[in-house]
Amino acid sequence: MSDIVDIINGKGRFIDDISFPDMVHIAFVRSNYSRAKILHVNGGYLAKDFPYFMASAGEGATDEEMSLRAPVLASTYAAYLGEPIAVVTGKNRYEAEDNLEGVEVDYDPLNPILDPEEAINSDPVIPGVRSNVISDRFVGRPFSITDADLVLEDRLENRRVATNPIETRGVVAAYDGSKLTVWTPTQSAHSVRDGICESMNLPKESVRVIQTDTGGAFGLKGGVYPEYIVASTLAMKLKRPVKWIETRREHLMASRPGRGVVGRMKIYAMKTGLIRGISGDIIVDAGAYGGASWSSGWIAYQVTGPYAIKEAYFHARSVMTNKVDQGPYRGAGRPEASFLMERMIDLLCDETGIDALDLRLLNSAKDRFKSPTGMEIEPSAGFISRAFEKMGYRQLARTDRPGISAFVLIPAVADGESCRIRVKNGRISVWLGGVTHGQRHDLWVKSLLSEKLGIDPSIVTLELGDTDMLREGVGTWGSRSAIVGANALLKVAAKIMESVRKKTGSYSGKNLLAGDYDEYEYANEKGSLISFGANLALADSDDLGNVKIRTMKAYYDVGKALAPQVVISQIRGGAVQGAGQVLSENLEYDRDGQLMAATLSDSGVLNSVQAPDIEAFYEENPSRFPHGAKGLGESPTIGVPTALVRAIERSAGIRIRKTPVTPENIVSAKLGKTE
Amino acid sequence: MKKVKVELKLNGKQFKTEVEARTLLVDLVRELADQTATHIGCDTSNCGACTVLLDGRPVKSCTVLAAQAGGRDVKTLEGLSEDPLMKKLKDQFLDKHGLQCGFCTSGMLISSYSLLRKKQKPDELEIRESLSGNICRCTGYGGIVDAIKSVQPGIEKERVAPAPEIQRN
Amino acid sequence: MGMTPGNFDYVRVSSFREAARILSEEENSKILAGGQSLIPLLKTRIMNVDLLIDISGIKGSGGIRQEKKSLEIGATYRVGELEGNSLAAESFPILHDAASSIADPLVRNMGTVGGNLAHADPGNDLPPVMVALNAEFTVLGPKGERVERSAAFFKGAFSTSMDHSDTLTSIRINQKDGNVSSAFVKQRKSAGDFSLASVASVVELDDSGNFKDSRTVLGSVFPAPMILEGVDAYLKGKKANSETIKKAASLVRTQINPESDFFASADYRRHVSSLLVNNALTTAVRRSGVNIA
Repeated sequence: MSDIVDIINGKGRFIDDISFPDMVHIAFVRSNYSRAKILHVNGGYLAKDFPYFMASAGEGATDEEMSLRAPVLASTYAAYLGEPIAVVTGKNRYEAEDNLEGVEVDYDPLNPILDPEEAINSDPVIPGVRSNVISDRFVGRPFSITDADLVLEDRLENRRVATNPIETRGVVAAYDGSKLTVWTPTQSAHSVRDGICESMNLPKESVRVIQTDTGGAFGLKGGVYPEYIVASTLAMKLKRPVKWIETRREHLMASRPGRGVVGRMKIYAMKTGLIRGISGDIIVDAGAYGGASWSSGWIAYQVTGPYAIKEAYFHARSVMTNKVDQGPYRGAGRPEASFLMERMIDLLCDETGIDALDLRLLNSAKDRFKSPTGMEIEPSAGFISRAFEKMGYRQLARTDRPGISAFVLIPAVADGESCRIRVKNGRISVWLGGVTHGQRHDLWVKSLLSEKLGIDPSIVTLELGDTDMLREGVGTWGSRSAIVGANALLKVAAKIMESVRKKTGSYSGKNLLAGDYDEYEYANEKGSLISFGANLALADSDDLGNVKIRTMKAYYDVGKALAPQVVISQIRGGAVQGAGQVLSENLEYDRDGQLMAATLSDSGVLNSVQAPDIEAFYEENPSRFPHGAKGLGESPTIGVPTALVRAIERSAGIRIRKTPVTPENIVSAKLGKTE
Repeated sequence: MKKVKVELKLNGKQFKTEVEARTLLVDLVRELADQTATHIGCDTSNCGACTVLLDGRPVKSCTVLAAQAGGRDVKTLEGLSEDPLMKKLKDQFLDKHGLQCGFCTSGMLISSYSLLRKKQKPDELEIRESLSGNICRCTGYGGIVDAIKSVQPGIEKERVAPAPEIQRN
Repeated sequence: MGMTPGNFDYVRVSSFREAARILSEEENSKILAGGQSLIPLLKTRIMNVDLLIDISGIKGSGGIRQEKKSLEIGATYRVGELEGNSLAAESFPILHDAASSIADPLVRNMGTVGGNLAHADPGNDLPPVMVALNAEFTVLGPKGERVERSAAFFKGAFSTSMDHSDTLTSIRINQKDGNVSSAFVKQRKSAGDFSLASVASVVELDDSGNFKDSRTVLGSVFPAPMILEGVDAYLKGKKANSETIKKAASLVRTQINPESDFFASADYRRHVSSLLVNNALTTAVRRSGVNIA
């Protein structure tokens, strides 16, 4: 990322600011239907010009997902609305879009299969697969509880949400005859490089991916997309730089959205409020090519959250539908899991009349606890007590109707991270596999290095992602960067200090800057790291069904706040995304498979008037890492929706089973009608 | 199709060009004048990343034809770099974490600037209403609102000329 | 799906007569005022035009003139200017209610009053307001100028009594004598900028605090604004209090027959329309100086 001062002065270099004199702009002809046979296409570059399949990359890609590979362009069958079919070029965006009119596509529209529950047993959404169930697992341990006082069941749902960074996707690709250079805003330059190489069967050394200033990502910009393969292929074919900038409408239809989960849950409990067991059928709307098929199992793994529930067993399935692939969106399975758990806990509160905090405390882990799914947590009771004391729950509960939530954050620390530090001419440059795009990694890079190396932080620069400058790397997602990035950074700093010692006899900042050093390390990480968080919300709803959020509070264990102001800023931003999911964010299709959200505003992103603020608190219980940090970025998107939904539910006197909660949902529930 | 001649004042300087009539103001600013602080975040007139001042009022330059701006005064963030109020705003945005990724920031700054020129000490609701055409996906707006609240007044109030009397033709 | 409009020519005219002439000569031409509805539409390329006729440069077309008994608004007067016009708001608070709730401040700085009316998007807010105010629209066509009553102007979704070669040039609102006030309220769709339903209400109370006259207009529920005659008939002569208003609002539930679609069920539309009638009437009556709960 450019320096923050450059960014605020408008001197950032975002993808659309990358330009070459002989650059070609491209635009895509996309399927007008959610499901159709393509009878005939004429004009533009077509599937045959891109004889590749999409590789899967990014967070948590599994072998199962790898087995199902999407074409770069559809040729005989369109599996989702907005699927790219043909590509045209132009000397600028206007001309490229003019040339879209020169492409003819004849469709034979088919009935789209949009509902994942229906898709389980329906005919295949794409030809050639036996079943639409792309991932089918049982998670946890089968159990039988026959003496529970209460067995409560409910169907819960999070509809799909667009990631909606304000900068959409984009790419510029250039080829000099031997090397392909790709500029793109991304969470991981290496993930994009590896995806391109795998898809196009190119050796890694022949592709360089350079991260441009990245205007938000939220999970979207973790991997490679068909449009990037098209731009790369055309750059090589035409020997001219090729640019593609996604339009917002394209983003809404053809960029991987998050959420899209249904859970049919069942809890077994005693009158005392003790939860004996939880089971459920968890179904993820994975989209046409089974995107992020790992997410159903991942959700099931963490449903029990901070609670010591002895029995848990889930049927977790990811199901293909005639929609764009689902992908990770800030939280990526964590908010969904917490929604399924917390909604059932609140139901139990209502059934037993037990206070929401008492019930959570009763079921919290008093000692280290390993859930039946294998998730190991530290004792959570103390944290939950402290959190709600700090947020003033007991007092509020006496006179008001707060909604609360408690959750676990499991950062994606697996596979660790890489770092390179170069000392040259008295300046220090740092590259991290987990690149920054607004999270201000530069602040902790500077402060940790300054402390460790005894140098002035102002001589340190955190560089943008660049695969030629850093051999390998993972990426920024899953609340991981500060944890594994800082860990790698400190390891490489130690290496540098050792080199200085070897060269000069002793280490000092002065000795360091007198010489040139260049060290790299890929610091792998096998273990996991789990932290706790809690939220509180107060809301009202009026007769029209409009919700007014009065108060939101957060209390998270961040391990150690490496940059305290950034912690607060991250919580405030994530809280608004969480509130957006509850109030309005949605990507809904009509029965014919047409997308109802045509604009950014239609997709429900909150504006400054609609957005609530949040009072953020955190505590610091250092993690096992030398820097002490735990995860943070996704916490508000986990904890806010559940607390807020409960607050709305209590204010309106209704039961909420689905996000978003629209005014009409509230009114019709109040009037006793089913949706 | 005919091209149109467009002559306007851009950041204090006369700017003359000939463009296709359909050229959007944002493309004149970014592509022809190479002033890239102004961004395009949507094509649906929602996000406000493309906000510029047109005759002193903030508008979405992706929803204005370059030709419509002919003969008028256009200011982008670059043109306000020496403006004392804008400098104060930027300092506060940095201090209060009024930006993360920075993509919406230029538009946010221009809307904030425009508000503070009209009203020195706006309250929270006035601030939030003035920013409601600028979408930020990172900060949750809290840091931006704090930044605007923290700007100390001291700038002369803007005078926007009143609309003319209606005339019969 | 694009972010650029298709090709067209552009001409800036200096009089409405010139605009009218060009409109009648060029088949696929269209008036450009602020462009805040038109340009996004052109970018989708669902709509294509050969020529845009920019009327915003016509001298005086963007003006406003307030006289003792009337307000005349030029077609290219910006919505944002109307929002900020405190004199107009004093006489017609309904104008400020609507102007300050349209889209967002940036769009309002470009969008025009005439454009909001002539585009006749069912989700737009000024059409029901002008119908409630019984505004007169001056339209210039090939045969000259004519005045249209607002109630007859709106024909349906994106459809008005103007044909291709007509241009809306100004809007005249007559101030009624007596104790008159007004209000506009709306419910947005659960996401997006447009209204799901809106109610514009102009009420006149007599000296004893009874409804003497009223016009209550429902916007956005049907393709064109609908005057709720049943409501107005009920109000006439009755005490302006919350009971009367509540009863009048409840009539709406049975007197309208909206459709169910993706955005809302017919039931919810009825419910919202009824509540908005209640809210608009309550606000308007309060503004008349009557203290009601």
